[in-house]
Amino acid sequence: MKEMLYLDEVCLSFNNAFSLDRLTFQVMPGEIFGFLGPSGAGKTTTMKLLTRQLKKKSGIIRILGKDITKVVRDDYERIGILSDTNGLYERLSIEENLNFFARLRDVPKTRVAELLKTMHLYDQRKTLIKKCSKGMRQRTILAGAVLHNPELLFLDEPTSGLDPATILEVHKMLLALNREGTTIFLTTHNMEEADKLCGRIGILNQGKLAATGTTQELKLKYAKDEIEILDMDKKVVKIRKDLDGARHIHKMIESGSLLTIHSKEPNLEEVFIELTGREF
Amino acid sequence: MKISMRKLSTLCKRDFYDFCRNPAIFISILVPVLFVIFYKSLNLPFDHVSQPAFLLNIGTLMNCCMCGLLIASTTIAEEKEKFTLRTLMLSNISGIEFLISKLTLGFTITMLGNLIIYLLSGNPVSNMPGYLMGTVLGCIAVNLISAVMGIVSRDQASCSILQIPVMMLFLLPPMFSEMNAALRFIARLTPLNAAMSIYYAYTTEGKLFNGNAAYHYLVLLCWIVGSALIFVLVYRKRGLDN
Repeated sequence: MKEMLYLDEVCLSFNNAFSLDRLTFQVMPGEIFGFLGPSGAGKTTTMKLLTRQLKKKSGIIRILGKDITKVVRDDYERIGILSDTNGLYERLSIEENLNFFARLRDVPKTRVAELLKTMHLYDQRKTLIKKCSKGMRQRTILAGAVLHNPELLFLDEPTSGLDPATILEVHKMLLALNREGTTIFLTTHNMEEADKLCGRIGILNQGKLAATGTTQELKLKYAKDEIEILDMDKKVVKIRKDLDGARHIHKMIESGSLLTIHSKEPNLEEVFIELTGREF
Repeated sequence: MKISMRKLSTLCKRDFYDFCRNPAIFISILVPVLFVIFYKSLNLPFDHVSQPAFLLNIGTLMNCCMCGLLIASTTIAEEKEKFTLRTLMLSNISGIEFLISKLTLGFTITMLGNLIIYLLSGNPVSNMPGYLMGTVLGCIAVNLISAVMGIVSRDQASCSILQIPVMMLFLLPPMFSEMNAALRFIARLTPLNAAMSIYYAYTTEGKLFNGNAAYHYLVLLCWIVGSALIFVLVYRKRGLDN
Protein backbone atom coordinates (compact mmCIF):
# COMPACT_ATOMS: atom_id res chain seq x y z
CA MET A 1 0.00 0.00 0.00
CA LYS A 2 1.45 3.34 -1.09
CA GLU A 3 1.77 6.09 1.48
CA MET A 4 -0.48 9.10 1.02
CA LEU A 5 2.23 11.22 2.56
CA TYR A 6 5.89 10.34 2.79
CA LEU A 7 8.59 12.53 4.28
CA ASP A 8 12.20 11.45 4.54
CA GLU A 9 14.87 13.63 6.17
CA VAL A 10 13.09 16.80 5.10
CA CYS A 11 14.82 20.04 6.04
CA LEU A 12 13.78 23.62 5.65
CA SER A 13 15.76 26.63 6.74
CA PHE A 14 15.24 30.37 6.86
CA ASN A 15 18.30 32.63 7.12
CA ASN A 16 20.57 29.61 7.70
CA ALA A 17 18.61 28.55 10.81
CA PHE A 18 16.75 25.26 10.62
CA SER A 19 13.04 25.71 10.75
CA LEU A 20 12.36 22.03 10.12
CA ASP A 21 15.08 19.54 10.85
CA ARG A 22 15.16 16.08 9.24
CA LEU A 23 11.44 15.37 9.40
CA THR A 24 10.68 11.74 8.68
CA PHE A 25 7.22 10.22 8.87
CA GLN A 26 4.56 8.59 6.72
CA VAL A 27 0.79 8.76 6.58
CA MET A 28 -0.95 5.70 5.21
CA PRO A 29 -4.25 5.66 3.26
CA GLY A 30 -7.30 5.89 5.50
CA GLU A 31 -5.38 7.25 8.46
CA ILE A 32 -6.06 10.35 10.52
CA PHE A 33 -2.62 11.61 11.42
CA GLY A 34 -2.39 14.32 14.08
CA PHE A 35 0.50 16.73 14.05
CA LEU A 36 0.93 18.29 17.47
CA GLY A 37 3.35 20.80 18.83
CA PRO A 38 3.60 24.01 20.80
CA SER A 39 3.28 27.39 19.07
CA GLY A 40 6.26 28.05 16.83
CA ALA A 41 7.24 24.36 16.65
CA GLY A 42 6.82 24.32 12.87
CA LYS A 43 3.39 22.73 12.37
CA THR A 44 2.10 25.38 10.00
CA THR A 45 5.47 25.49 8.23
CA THR A 46 5.20 21.73 7.67
CA MET A 47 1.67 22.21 6.37
CA LYS A 48 2.88 24.91 3.97
CA LEU A 49 5.68 22.65 2.81
CA LEU A 50 3.27 19.78 2.15
CA THR A 51 0.86 22.04 0.28
CA ARG A 52 3.69 23.52 -1.81
CA GLN A 53 3.47 27.00 -0.36
CA LEU A 54 7.12 26.60 0.67
CA LYS A 55 10.00 24.70 -0.90
CA LYS A 56 12.07 22.20 1.05
CA LYS A 57 15.81 22.61 1.37
CA SER A 58 16.54 18.90 1.24
CA GLY A 59 14.94 15.50 1.69
CA ILE A 60 12.13 13.66 -0.05
CA ILE A 61 8.43 14.48 0.06
CA ARG A 62 5.87 12.32 -1.70
CA ILE A 63 2.17 13.16 -1.85
CA LEU A 64 -0.37 10.64 -3.18
CA GLY A 65 2.62 8.48 -4.11
CA LYS A 66 4.16 11.23 -6.29
CA ASP A 67 7.25 13.28 -5.69
CA ILE A 68 6.08 16.73 -4.56
CA THR A 69 7.94 18.40 -7.43
CA LYS A 70 5.86 16.34 -9.87
CA VAL A 71 2.49 17.12 -8.32
CA VAL A 72 0.40 18.88 -10.97
CA ARG A 73 -2.70 21.03 -10.76
CA ASP A 74 -4.99 18.08 -11.51
CA ASP A 75 -3.70 16.36 -8.36
CA TYR A 76 -5.26 19.20 -6.38
CA GLU A 77 -8.63 17.75 -7.38
CA ARG A 78 -7.77 14.90 -4.99
CA ILE A 79 -6.57 17.15 -2.17
CA GLY A 80 -8.44 19.41 0.23
CA ILE A 81 -6.67 22.09 2.22
CA LEU A 82 -7.72 24.16 5.18
CA SER A 83 -4.88 26.41 6.26
CA ASP A 84 -4.57 29.51 8.40
CA THR A 85 -4.43 31.58 5.23
CA ASN A 86 -7.61 30.40 3.56
CA GLY A 87 -9.73 33.33 2.49
CA LEU A 88 -13.34 33.89 1.54
CA TYR A 89 -14.95 36.49 -0.68
CA GLU A 90 -16.30 39.09 1.72
CA ARG A 91 -18.93 40.56 -0.59
CA LEU A 92 -20.44 37.14 -1.30
CA SER A 93 -22.67 35.18 1.04
CA ILE A 94 -21.74 31.86 2.65
CA GLU A 95 -23.77 29.97 0.05
CA GLU A 96 -22.38 31.99 -2.87
CA ASN A 97 -18.83 31.32 -1.71
CA LEU A 98 -19.48 27.59 -1.47
CA ASN A 99 -21.33 27.52 -4.79
CA PHE A 100 -18.37 29.28 -6.39
CA PHE A 101 -15.90 26.70 -5.08
CA ALA A 102 -18.33 23.91 -5.99
CA ARG A 103 -18.47 25.12 -9.62
CA LEU A 104 -14.69 25.33 -9.75
CA ARG A 105 -14.48 21.75 -8.51
CA ASP A 106 -17.44 20.58 -10.61
CA VAL A 107 -19.36 19.50 -7.51
CA PRO A 108 -23.21 19.47 -7.57
CA LYS A 109 -25.12 22.09 -5.59
CA THR A 110 -26.78 19.37 -3.54
CA ARG A 111 -23.44 18.74 -1.86
CA VAL A 112 -23.30 22.43 -0.88
CA ALA A 113 -26.73 22.20 0.74
CA GLU A 114 -25.68 19.00 2.53
CA LEU A 115 -22.55 20.64 3.95
CA LEU A 116 -24.41 23.80 4.94
CA LYS A 117 -26.67 21.60 7.06
CA THR A 118 -23.79 19.59 8.53
CA MET A 119 -21.94 22.76 9.48
CA HIS A 120 -25.08 24.36 10.95
CA LEU A 121 -24.86 27.14 8.38
CA TYR A 122 -28.03 26.47 6.44
CA ASP A 123 -30.15 29.11 8.18
CA GLN A 124 -27.43 31.73 7.77
CA ARG A 125 -26.47 30.75 4.23
CA LYS A 126 -27.50 34.14 2.81
CA THR A 127 -25.28 36.08 5.25
CA LEU A 128 -22.43 37.98 3.64
CA ILE A 129 -19.02 36.76 4.75
CA LYS A 130 -18.05 40.25 5.96
CA LYS A 131 -20.91 40.00 8.46
CA CYS A 132 -20.03 36.49 9.67
CA SER A 133 -18.45 35.62 13.01
CA LYS A 134 -15.06 33.89 13.15
CA GLY A 135 -16.75 30.56 13.81
CA MET A 136 -19.06 30.91 10.81
CA ARG A 137 -16.12 31.78 8.57
CA GLN A 138 -14.13 28.81 9.88
CA ARG A 139 -17.05 26.45 9.21
CA THR A 140 -17.45 27.88 5.71
CA ILE A 141 -13.75 27.40 4.98
CA LEU A 142 -13.92 23.86 6.31
CA ALA A 143 -16.97 23.13 4.15
CA GLY A 144 -15.05 24.50 1.15
CA ALA A 145 -12.10 22.23 1.88
CA VAL A 146 -14.21 19.05 1.96
CA LEU A 147 -16.70 19.92 -0.81
CA HIS A 148 -15.16 17.52 -3.30
CA ASN A 149 -14.65 14.57 -0.91
CA PRO A 150 -10.87 14.70 -1.23
CA GLU A 151 -8.67 11.64 -0.93
CA LEU A 152 -6.20 13.57 1.18
CA LEU A 153 -7.24 16.36 3.48
CA PHE A 154 -4.86 18.83 5.15
CA LEU A 155 -6.39 20.59 8.12
CA ASP A 156 -4.56 23.29 10.04
CA GLU A 157 -6.35 23.83 13.38
CA PRO A 158 -9.78 23.02 11.92
CA THR A 159 -11.80 23.65 15.05
CA SER A 160 -10.13 26.79 16.37
CA GLY A 161 -12.72 29.42 17.16
CA LEU A 162 -15.65 27.01 17.07
CA ASP A 163 -18.16 26.41 19.84
CA PRO A 164 -18.29 22.95 21.49
CA ALA A 165 -21.48 21.86 19.69
CA THR A 166 -20.02 22.68 16.28
CA ILE A 167 -16.71 21.06 17.20
CA LEU A 168 -18.66 17.88 17.90
CA GLU A 169 -20.38 18.11 14.50
CA VAL A 170 -17.07 18.81 12.75
CA HIS A 171 -15.52 15.79 14.46
CA LYS A 172 -18.44 13.63 13.34
CA MET A 173 -18.06 14.90 9.80
CA LEU A 174 -14.31 14.28 9.75
CA LEU A 175 -14.78 10.76 11.08
CA ALA A 176 -17.47 10.14 8.45
CA LEU A 177 -15.16 11.43 5.71
CA ASN A 178 -12.41 9.21 7.05
CA ARG A 179 -14.73 6.19 7.04
CA GLU A 180 -15.43 6.93 3.38
CA GLY A 181 -11.71 6.72 2.72
CA THR A 182 -10.34 10.24 3.15
CA THR A 183 -6.88 10.36 4.67
CA ILE A 184 -6.54 13.30 7.04
CA PHE A 185 -3.43 15.17 8.09
CA LEU A 186 -4.41 17.38 10.98
CA THR A 187 -2.54 19.92 13.07
CA THR A 188 -4.10 20.83 16.37
CA HIS A 189 -3.45 22.27 19.80
CA ASN A 190 -6.42 20.43 21.16
CA MET A 191 -5.22 17.22 22.82
CA GLU A 192 -8.74 15.97 23.33
CA GLU A 193 -9.36 16.39 19.61
CA ALA A 194 -6.16 14.56 18.72
CA ASP A 195 -7.01 11.75 21.12
CA LYS A 196 -10.53 11.42 19.76
CA LEU A 197 -9.78 11.63 16.04
CA CYS A 198 -6.25 10.51 15.36
CA GLY A 199 -5.07 6.98 14.90
CA ARG A 200 -1.46 8.10 14.98
CA ILE A 201 0.17 11.32 15.97
CA GLY A 202 3.51 13.05 15.58
CA ILE A 203 4.76 15.54 18.13
CA LEU A 204 6.90 18.34 16.77
CA ASN A 205 9.18 20.39 18.97
CA GLN A 206 11.43 23.18 17.72
CA GLY A 207 11.30 21.88 14.18
CA LYS A 208 12.18 18.31 15.11
CA LEU A 209 9.87 15.36 15.35
CA ALA A 210 10.04 14.35 19.01
CA ALA A 211 7.87 11.23 18.68
CA THR A 212 5.44 9.41 16.42
CA GLY A 213 3.10 6.55 17.13
CA THR A 214 -0.43 5.65 18.03
CA THR A 215 -1.91 7.70 20.83
CA GLN A 216 -1.99 4.58 23.00
CA GLU A 217 1.68 3.80 22.38
CA LEU A 218 2.77 7.32 23.21
CA LYS A 219 0.65 7.46 26.34
CA LEU A 220 2.12 4.24 27.61
CA LYS A 221 5.64 5.25 26.72
CA TYR A 222 5.73 8.84 27.93
CA ALA A 223 2.90 9.41 30.38
CA LYS A 224 3.74 9.47 34.09
CA ASP A 225 3.05 6.09 35.63
CA GLU A 226 1.21 7.30 38.70
CA ILE A 227 -1.79 6.59 40.83
CA GLU A 228 -3.67 9.05 42.98
CA ILE A 229 -4.41 8.38 46.62
CA LEU A 230 -6.73 10.34 48.85
CA ASP A 231 -5.88 10.00 52.54
CA MET A 232 -8.09 10.49 55.58
CA ASP A 233 -7.12 14.18 55.75
CA LYS A 234 -8.51 14.54 52.15
CA LYS A 235 -5.02 15.15 50.87
CA VAL A 236 -4.21 13.93 47.35
CA VAL A 237 -0.93 12.02 47.09
CA LYS A 238 0.56 10.90 43.77
CA ILE A 239 2.46 7.63 43.94
CA ARG A 240 4.45 5.89 41.23
CA LYS A 241 3.36 2.45 40.14
CA ASP A 242 6.45 0.62 41.39
CA LEU A 243 7.56 -1.42 44.40
CA ASP A 244 8.10 1.65 46.59
CA GLY A 245 4.66 2.88 45.70
CA ALA A 246 3.15 -0.50 46.56
CA ARG A 247 4.91 -0.47 49.97
CA HIS A 248 3.59 3.04 50.62
CA ILE A 249 0.03 1.96 49.85
CA HIS A 250 0.45 -1.13 52.00
CA LYS A 251 1.54 1.04 54.94
CA MET A 252 -1.41 3.37 54.46
CA ILE A 253 -3.86 0.46 54.42
CA GLU A 254 -2.31 -0.95 57.57
CA SER A 255 -2.49 2.40 59.34
CA GLY A 256 -6.04 2.95 58.09
CA SER A 257 -5.15 6.30 56.55
CA LEU A 258 -6.19 5.38 53.01
CA LEU A 259 -9.53 6.80 51.89
CA THR A 260 -9.61 6.23 48.10
CA ILE A 261 -7.24 4.98 45.43
CA HIS A 262 -7.51 5.85 41.73
CA SER A 263 -5.53 4.54 38.85
CA LYS A 264 -4.58 7.56 36.73
CA GLU A 265 -5.15 7.12 33.00
CA PRO A 266 -2.24 8.52 31.04
CA ASN A 267 -3.26 11.30 28.65
CA LEU A 268 -1.81 13.07 25.63
CA GLU A 269 -1.45 16.29 27.53
CA GLU A 270 1.15 14.66 29.78
CA VAL A 271 2.91 13.13 26.78
CA PHE A 272 2.99 16.53 25.13
CA ILE A 273 4.44 18.29 28.19
CA GLU A 274 6.93 15.48 28.74
CA LEU A 275 8.20 15.71 25.16
CA THR A 276 8.15 19.44 24.60
CA GLY A 277 8.74 20.71 28.09
CA ARG A 278 6.02 23.23 27.44
CA GLU A 279 2.35 23.53 28.18
CA PHE A 280 0.21 24.45 25.21
CA MET B 1 -0.44 25.10 -20.17
CA LYS B 2 -3.97 23.80 -19.75
CA ILE B 3 -6.90 26.20 -19.39
CA SER B 4 -10.28 24.90 -18.30
CA MET B 5 -13.19 26.86 -19.78
CA ARG B 6 -15.46 25.79 -16.91
CA LYS B 7 -13.08 27.20 -14.32
CA LEU B 8 -12.41 30.31 -16.38
CA SER B 9 -16.09 31.08 -16.85
CA THR B 10 -16.72 30.49 -13.12
CA LEU B 11 -13.90 32.87 -12.23
CA CYS B 12 -15.13 35.49 -14.71
CA LYS B 13 -18.73 35.27 -13.46
CA ARG B 14 -17.58 35.73 -9.89
CA ASP B 15 -15.33 38.65 -10.86
CA PHE B 16 -18.16 40.48 -12.64
CA TYR B 17 -20.57 39.78 -9.80
CA ASP B 18 -18.05 41.02 -7.24
CA PHE B 19 -17.29 44.10 -9.38
CA CYS B 20 -20.96 45.10 -9.27
CA ARG B 21 -20.96 44.79 -5.49
CA ASN B 22 -17.71 46.68 -4.93
CA PRO B 23 -18.46 50.41 -4.80
CA ALA B 24 -14.77 51.36 -4.58
CA ILE B 25 -14.13 49.84 -8.02
CA PHE B 26 -17.55 50.31 -9.53
CA ILE B 27 -17.17 54.07 -9.18
CA SER B 28 -14.21 53.92 -11.58
CA ILE B 29 -16.62 53.36 -14.48
CA LEU B 30 -19.13 55.93 -13.24
CA VAL B 31 -16.77 58.89 -12.79
CA PRO B 32 -15.71 59.31 -16.46
CA VAL B 33 -19.27 58.71 -17.69
CA LEU B 34 -20.73 61.20 -15.21
CA PHE B 35 -17.96 63.64 -16.11
CA VAL B 36 -18.96 63.49 -19.78
CA ILE B 37 -22.66 63.89 -18.96
CA PHE B 38 -21.93 66.83 -16.66
CA TYR B 39 -19.60 68.58 -19.11
CA LYS B 40 -22.05 68.09 -21.95
CA SER B 41 -24.87 69.61 -19.92
CA LEU B 42 -22.78 72.74 -19.29
CA ASN B 43 -22.62 73.37 -23.05
CA LEU B 44 -19.44 75.44 -22.76
CA PRO B 45 -17.97 77.17 -25.86
CA PHE B 46 -14.82 75.52 -27.29
CA ASP B 47 -12.24 77.57 -29.19
CA HIS B 48 -10.13 75.03 -31.05
CA VAL B 49 -11.94 71.70 -31.01
CA SER B 50 -15.53 70.63 -31.27
CA GLN B 51 -17.37 69.70 -28.09
CA PRO B 52 -17.88 66.02 -29.10
CA ALA B 53 -14.17 65.64 -29.87
CA PHE B 54 -13.17 67.25 -26.58
CA LEU B 55 -15.59 65.14 -24.55
CA LEU B 56 -14.51 61.97 -26.29
CA ASN B 57 -10.83 62.70 -25.75
CA ILE B 58 -11.06 63.57 -22.09
CA GLY B 59 -13.70 60.91 -21.33
CA THR B 60 -11.72 58.13 -22.98
CA LEU B 61 -8.47 59.15 -21.31
CA MET B 62 -10.15 59.23 -17.90
CA ASN B 63 -11.96 55.96 -18.46
CA CYS B 64 -8.91 54.05 -19.71
CA CYS B 65 -6.84 55.38 -16.84
CA MET B 66 -9.43 54.79 -14.14
CA CYS B 67 -10.95 51.50 -15.31
CA GLY B 68 -8.07 50.12 -17.33
CA LEU B 69 -5.38 50.79 -14.77
CA LEU B 70 -7.40 50.28 -11.60
CA ILE B 71 -9.61 47.23 -12.07
CA ALA B 72 -7.14 44.41 -12.75
CA SER B 73 -4.46 45.70 -10.36
CA THR B 74 -6.81 46.46 -7.47
CA THR B 75 -8.72 43.20 -7.73
CA ILE B 76 -5.50 41.14 -7.90
CA ALA B 77 -4.08 43.06 -4.92
CA GLU B 78 -7.32 42.58 -2.98
CA GLU B 79 -7.27 38.83 -3.58
CA LYS B 80 -3.71 38.74 -2.26
CA GLU B 81 -4.53 40.85 0.77
CA LYS B 82 -7.57 38.80 1.75
CA PHE B 83 -5.94 35.42 0.99
CA THR B 84 -8.60 34.42 -1.50
CA LEU B 85 -5.88 34.13 -4.13
CA ARG B 86 -4.09 31.59 -1.95
CA THR B 87 -7.31 29.64 -1.52
CA LEU B 88 -7.66 29.53 -5.31
CA MET B 89 -4.03 28.54 -5.78
CA LEU B 90 -4.46 25.76 -3.23
CA SER B 91 -7.48 24.46 -5.07
CA ASN B 92 -7.23 23.61 -8.72
CA ILE B 93 -6.87 27.03 -10.34
CA SER B 94 -3.78 27.92 -12.32
CA GLY B 95 -2.22 31.36 -12.23
CA ILE B 96 -2.97 31.86 -15.91
CA GLU B 97 -6.69 31.10 -15.46
CA PHE B 98 -6.80 33.60 -12.63
CA LEU B 99 -5.00 36.30 -14.62
CA ILE B 100 -7.09 35.81 -17.77
CA SER B 101 -10.22 36.25 -15.68
CA LYS B 102 -8.88 39.50 -14.17
CA LEU B 103 -7.79 40.82 -17.58
CA THR B 104 -11.18 39.92 -19.07
CA LEU B 105 -12.92 41.87 -16.33
CA GLY B 106 -10.69 44.93 -16.72
CA PHE B 107 -10.83 44.89 -20.52
CA THR B 108 -14.62 44.40 -20.74
CA ILE B 109 -15.46 47.10 -18.21
CA THR B 110 -13.04 49.58 -19.80
CA MET B 111 -14.41 48.95 -23.29
CA LEU B 112 -17.97 49.18 -22.02
CA GLY B 113 -17.14 52.57 -20.50
CA ASN B 114 -15.47 53.68 -23.74
CA LEU B 115 -18.55 52.75 -25.76
CA ILE B 116 -20.88 54.62 -23.41
CA ILE B 117 -18.60 57.66 -23.56
CA TYR B 118 -18.47 57.51 -27.35
CA LEU B 119 -22.25 57.41 -27.61
CA LEU B 120 -22.70 60.19 -25.04
CA SER B 121 -20.08 62.45 -26.60
CA GLY B 122 -22.10 62.87 -29.78
CA ASN B 123 -19.46 61.78 -32.29
CA PRO B 124 -20.75 60.18 -35.51
CA VAL B 125 -21.28 56.42 -35.34
CA SER B 126 -19.55 56.11 -38.72
CA ASN B 127 -16.23 56.85 -36.96
CA MET B 128 -16.75 54.04 -34.47
CA PRO B 129 -14.41 51.50 -36.20
CA GLY B 130 -11.43 53.83 -35.77
CA TYR B 131 -12.35 54.46 -32.16
CA LEU B 132 -12.79 50.77 -31.44
CA MET B 133 -9.48 49.87 -33.09
CA GLY B 134 -7.56 52.50 -31.13
CA THR B 135 -9.19 51.88 -27.78
CA VAL B 136 -9.09 48.06 -28.01
CA LEU B 137 -5.32 48.20 -28.51
CA GLY B 138 -4.94 50.90 -25.85
CA CYS B 139 -7.04 48.88 -23.40
CA ILE B 140 -4.96 45.75 -23.96
CA ALA B 141 -1.81 47.72 -23.14
CA VAL B 142 -3.16 49.44 -20.00
CA ASN B 143 -4.76 46.24 -18.70
CA LEU B 144 -1.49 44.34 -19.04
CA ILE B 145 0.29 47.15 -17.18
CA SER B 146 -2.44 47.04 -14.57
CA ALA B 147 -1.99 43.27 -14.12
CA VAL B 148 1.77 43.77 -13.65
CA MET B 149 1.06 46.33 -10.91
CA GLY B 150 -1.29 43.85 -9.25
CA ILE B 151 1.29 41.06 -9.38
CA VAL B 152 4.08 43.14 -7.83
CA SER B 153 1.89 44.61 -5.06
CA ARG B 154 1.46 42.91 -1.71
CA ASP B 155 -1.87 44.54 -0.93
CA GLN B 156 -4.25 47.27 -2.05
CA ALA B 157 -2.33 50.03 -0.25
CA SER B 158 0.97 49.19 -1.95
CA CYS B 159 -0.89 48.86 -5.25
CA SER B 160 -2.29 52.37 -5.01
CA ILE B 161 1.27 53.72 -4.59
CA LEU B 162 2.02 52.34 -8.05
CA GLN B 163 -1.33 53.25 -9.61
CA ILE B 164 -1.24 57.00 -9.01
CA PRO B 165 2.02 57.87 -10.82
CA VAL B 166 1.24 55.56 -13.76
CA MET B 167 -2.22 57.07 -14.02
CA MET B 168 -0.76 60.59 -13.98
CA LEU B 169 1.78 59.63 -16.64
CA PHE B 170 -0.87 58.24 -18.98
CA LEU B 171 -3.50 60.88 -18.31
CA LEU B 172 -1.85 64.28 -17.95
CA PRO B 173 0.56 64.52 -20.94
CA PRO B 174 -2.13 63.66 -23.54
CA MET B 175 -4.60 66.01 -21.84
CA PHE B 176 -2.24 68.98 -21.73
CA SER B 177 -0.06 68.18 -24.73
CA GLU B 178 -0.98 71.49 -26.39
CA MET B 179 0.55 73.46 -23.54
CA ASN B 180 4.25 72.88 -24.28
CA ALA B 181 6.64 70.86 -26.41
CA ALA B 182 7.91 68.64 -23.59
CA LEU B 183 4.42 67.45 -22.75
CA ARG B 184 3.71 66.96 -26.44
CA PHE B 185 6.81 64.81 -26.76
CA ILE B 186 5.89 62.68 -23.73
CA ALA B 187 2.28 62.41 -24.92
CA ARG B 188 3.41 61.00 -28.28
CA LEU B 189 4.96 58.08 -26.38
CA THR B 190 1.97 57.19 -24.23
CA PRO B 191 -0.43 54.39 -25.23
CA LEU B 192 -3.66 56.32 -24.75
CA ASN B 193 -2.49 59.25 -26.85
CA ALA B 194 -1.63 56.71 -29.55
CA ALA B 195 -5.06 55.10 -29.21
CA MET B 196 -6.84 58.43 -29.69
CA SER B 197 -4.51 59.40 -32.54
CA ILE B 198 -5.52 56.22 -34.41
CA TYR B 199 -9.11 57.38 -34.05
CA TYR B 200 -8.31 60.90 -35.29
CA ALA B 201 -6.42 59.49 -38.25
CA TYR B 202 -9.48 57.37 -39.10
CA THR B 203 -11.79 60.40 -38.94
CA THR B 204 -9.63 62.24 -41.50
CA GLU B 205 -8.53 59.35 -43.74
CA GLY B 206 -11.54 57.03 -43.39
CA LYS B 207 -9.26 53.98 -43.25
CA LEU B 208 -8.05 51.97 -40.27
CA PHE B 209 -4.54 51.58 -41.59
CA ASN B 210 -3.10 54.72 -43.06
CA GLY B 211 0.17 56.60 -43.11
CA ASN B 212 -0.87 59.06 -40.40
CA ALA B 213 -1.64 56.24 -37.98
CA ALA B 214 1.44 54.08 -38.62
CA TYR B 215 3.55 55.74 -35.92
CA HIS B 216 0.74 55.39 -33.36
CA TYR B 217 0.25 51.70 -34.20
CA LEU B 218 3.95 51.26 -33.62
CA VAL B 219 3.77 53.02 -30.23
CA LEU B 220 0.85 50.81 -29.17
CA LEU B 221 2.55 47.69 -30.43
CA CYS B 222 5.65 48.57 -28.39
CA TRP B 223 3.51 49.10 -25.28
CA ILE B 224 1.61 45.84 -25.76
CA VAL B 225 4.71 43.75 -26.47
CA GLY B 226 6.71 45.50 -23.75
CA SER B 227 4.03 45.17 -21.08
CA ALA B 228 3.36 41.54 -22.08
CA LEU B 229 7.07 40.76 -21.71
CA ILE B 230 7.25 42.48 -18.32
CA PHE B 231 4.08 40.65 -17.34
CA VAL B 232 5.58 37.25 -18.24
CA LEU B 233 8.93 38.05 -16.58
CA VAL B 234 7.33 39.29 -13.36
CA TYR B 235 4.92 36.36 -13.28
CA ARG B 236 7.74 33.86 -13.79
CA LYS B 237 9.95 35.48 -11.19
CA ARG B 238 7.45 36.25 -8.48
CA GLY B 239 4.47 34.06 -9.26
CA LEU B 240 1.15 35.41 -8.16
CA ASP B 241 1.16 35.02 -4.44
CA ASN B 242 3.12 37.03 -1.89
